[in-house]
Amino acid sequence: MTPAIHREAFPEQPAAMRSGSSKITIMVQSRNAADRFQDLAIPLLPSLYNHACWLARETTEAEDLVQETLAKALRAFDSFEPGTNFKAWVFRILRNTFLTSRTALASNRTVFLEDQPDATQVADLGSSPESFAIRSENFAAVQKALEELPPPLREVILLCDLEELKYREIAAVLDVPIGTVMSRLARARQALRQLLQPTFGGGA
Amino acid sequence: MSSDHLLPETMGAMVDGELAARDKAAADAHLNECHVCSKRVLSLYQLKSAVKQAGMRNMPSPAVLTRLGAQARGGRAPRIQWTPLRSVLLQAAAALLVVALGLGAWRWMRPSESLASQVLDQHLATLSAGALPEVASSDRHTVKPWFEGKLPFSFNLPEPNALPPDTVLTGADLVYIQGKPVALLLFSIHKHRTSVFVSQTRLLTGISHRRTQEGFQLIDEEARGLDYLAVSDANGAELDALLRSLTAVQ
Repeated sequence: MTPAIHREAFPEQPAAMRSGSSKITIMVQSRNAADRFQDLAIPLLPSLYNHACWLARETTEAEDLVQETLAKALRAFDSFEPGTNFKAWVFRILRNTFLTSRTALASNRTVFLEDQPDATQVADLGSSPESFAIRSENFAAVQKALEELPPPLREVILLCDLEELKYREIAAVLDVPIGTVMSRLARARQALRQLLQPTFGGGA
Repeated sequence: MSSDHLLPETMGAMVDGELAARDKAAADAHLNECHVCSKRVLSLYQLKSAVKQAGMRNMPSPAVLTRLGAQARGGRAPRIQWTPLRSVLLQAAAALLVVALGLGAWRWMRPSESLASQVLDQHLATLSAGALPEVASSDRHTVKPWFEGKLPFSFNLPEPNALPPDTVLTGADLVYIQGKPVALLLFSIHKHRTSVFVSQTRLLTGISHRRTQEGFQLIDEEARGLDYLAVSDANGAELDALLRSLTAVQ
């Protein structure tokens, strides 16, 4: 740290404390960490809020979720490893925050999907790409289908397709093996196609 | 599903760009032989694109963004009534924050700047000596059917007499840009070789629909959910006319 930064950051500190004491260094580092956190977090706010809305299904709770997530992430920012994906890290905090919320606990949402294989069994719907003639005017139908997906399937497909996280990052967010991410994604897409079939047709 | 076909997980990993090089080569080889799996993979590409666009539906209001931004800065966002002066200051700060957040979100959502370069590279490849397209034909009834089963979308081609003067369809090819299949239509405008890329996603980044890059004109138009991007050293008015003739028949 340069002395100029010390003075700019903490002009009110006595000279004795500005002369390189470890306390000042820690405070400046904390300030810089807060700046770094802000730089990383602010571009993600629309994305975090959107994902929170999909999780909580209610905008006020979604905002509270993101507020709490940001507070937790800022407190734990020391544990974030530079060079790793901040987005995956903060999405994991968001998810864990949601899982301990009243809404999640009330809906018993933490049950692992793999424990209920029958609940997500869907038919093979064939392969015609024409059956997914999805254009911009049909997004409402896709959104409705996403709403109807079981939450764990909706979550994994949004993390992959919308947030563009890599499989290993999704595995870290969901705290599951990569193989589970792959199988859950395959089921999510199959279920989504099944839900869209009445709208767009397509043969089985 | 037959055990001979690709597993759903493998097709998903292919669409998500998660297959290892060796597995991808094996999957590509299978797709070249298996029409059923090819169609399924194309369908997955389309579904992925639809989820990406439909999933971003809950945009926070400026007031919510202001509160979340304050939290990200380490402070609690007030939800109380402010005095008039502080209210004005807050509104100014909120406006600045919204602009900053908008820029951040724009940077976050902005496609790669390398897209135009990839498109230009594809066009330059068509200009190289000996470069022959997969379909060398000026017959639209030959060119259009050739794309069937190769693209997750369909488009029409105009009659030859509906094209601008001295503009001729010379062939077509299938190219991949950022892992997505894109139709490449080749035209000749007064002997200026011209490429038109037909894609489900916009290939020209930024707000403007025209750009000059390394001496070539890049102009795009949208019609019925598809993007038509023309690249050529012909003049802009002639490219506009070509694009109009293409989009008019969609």
